[in-house]
Amino acid sequence: MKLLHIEWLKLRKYKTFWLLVSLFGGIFLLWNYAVNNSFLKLGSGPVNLLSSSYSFPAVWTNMGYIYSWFVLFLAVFVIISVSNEYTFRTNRQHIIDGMRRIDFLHSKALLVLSMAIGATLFYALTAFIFGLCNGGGNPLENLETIVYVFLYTLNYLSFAAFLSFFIKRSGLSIMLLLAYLLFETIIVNVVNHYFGTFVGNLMPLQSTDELLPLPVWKSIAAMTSTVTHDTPIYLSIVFGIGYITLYYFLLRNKMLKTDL
Amino acid sequence: MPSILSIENIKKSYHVVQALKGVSFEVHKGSVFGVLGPNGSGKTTLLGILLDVLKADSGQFEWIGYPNDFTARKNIGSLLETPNFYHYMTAKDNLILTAHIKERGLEDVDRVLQQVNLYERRDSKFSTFSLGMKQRLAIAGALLGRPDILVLDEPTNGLDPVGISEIRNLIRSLNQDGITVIMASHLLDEVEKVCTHVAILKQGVLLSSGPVSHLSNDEEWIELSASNKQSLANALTNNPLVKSIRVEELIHIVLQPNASIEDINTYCMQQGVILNQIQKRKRSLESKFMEMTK
Repeated sequence: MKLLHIEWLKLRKYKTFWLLVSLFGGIFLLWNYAVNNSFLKLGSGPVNLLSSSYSFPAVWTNMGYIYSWFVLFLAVFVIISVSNEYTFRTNRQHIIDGMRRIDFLHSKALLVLSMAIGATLFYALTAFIFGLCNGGGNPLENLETIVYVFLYTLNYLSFAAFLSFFIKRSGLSIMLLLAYLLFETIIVNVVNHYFGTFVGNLMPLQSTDELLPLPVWKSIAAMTSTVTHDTPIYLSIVFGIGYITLYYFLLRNKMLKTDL
Repeated sequence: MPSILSIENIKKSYHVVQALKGVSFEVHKGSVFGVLGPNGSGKTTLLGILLDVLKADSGQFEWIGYPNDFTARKNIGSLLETPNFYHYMTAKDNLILTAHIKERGLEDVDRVLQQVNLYERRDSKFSTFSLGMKQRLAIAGALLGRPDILVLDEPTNGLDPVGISEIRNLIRSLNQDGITVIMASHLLDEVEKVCTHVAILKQGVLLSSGPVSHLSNDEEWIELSASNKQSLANALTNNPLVKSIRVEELIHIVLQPNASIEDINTYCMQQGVILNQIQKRKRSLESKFMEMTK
């Protein structure tokens, strides 16, 4: 808690933090409001491919998919938070002032974990309210999506932190993250095509992307005869947790052994 | 005085450059210990290793009297290279953060801001500070929680003459309060004025270590002159009070161990040579340093 409190002291008056968190929350809410009320739509009449449903239980998966796009705002903030320490050389100052090297890594890990928990709770609350407003079936069905959202967020933010611990500069890290997103999409599809199976879906970010698919994707694929490569859920979870663990141990090794 | 820091055979390389080549020395509690050396001699690297921001290739060090190195660092006030603070935070908020990391009370924040004359600017953002103000805030951070030891790297860098004098006086007064000070500097004058002990580094090699007085005081001579220079030179040549003599614009003599400056003055008067100048000189740290590092 002490480490988290130290991170909070850095954030509480940091305008960039509040701006990015507001953009994440505000645009996510507005987007869903607009789709739910058919201000934003892709299709005619009652058909809207942007939204399968805001009723229970589909609201969980529908908003989970939309949520997956908005995590980018939080990832950008994680990059800025880590890069700031290198830019201001406060990573060195914390150690000089008596923080253990591993605790510096843990403070950032706790920030990522807290943001993942906060964002997941925000998603869950928002989806629940949209579901309540639209009624429908059993609200407890598809509830596992909340866990998927958490794992997805944690993996995404951990990847962003991992990248910025090595790159150390925020602008370059953000550009590399965006470039990697495009690169990974290409690689995933090339590998899937080459092997004729889902193995490409086990790439670092795609592994947890698989947990939050576009709900109408299967219908669209069926209508357009697109070949799909479904990944078993348990493999997505195992690989997601595996990547987060890998980032942690690689960063731990770096923090304990290298000059700051 | 017991030792507070023991350094043993520390080596550190950056690729092909060997920054420290087996440095060993001890720092005694209550001293003002200067690490003196020209640019690139390894001073900052050594302090970086002692504060765990750099990893030594081999060798070891121990902050004596602390259970572990991070507990020691919480009791050390440090200023290494540049002042490192969050630019978007105020001076006070930055120090509050430092106090939390050092596990010190927040009531000390205002005291140290006053001590470095930044209290009036406590609510200004760090990014608005001049170089000298940033340096003073870093010193305030180092003083938080009344540390047992201060580790300062070029502490007067960027300060104006008044600021330099204030910081030197502060270091002396803190030392009088019992705080051990370890400071790196390339300013001989600074080390000579402030430090009680010194270690001289050159290209990663420890050339000498000990009390400043021993390093600078191990050779003394007398400078004399008289209106009749030749008579004075004759009187002092082959004189049992004089160990050696060098005649230049002034006459330089080194006395025998049992002779004093009064003996020479009396002797010259007895010989009818009236001195118009007599002055004891000692080898300065500067000349010692220049000789050792050339």
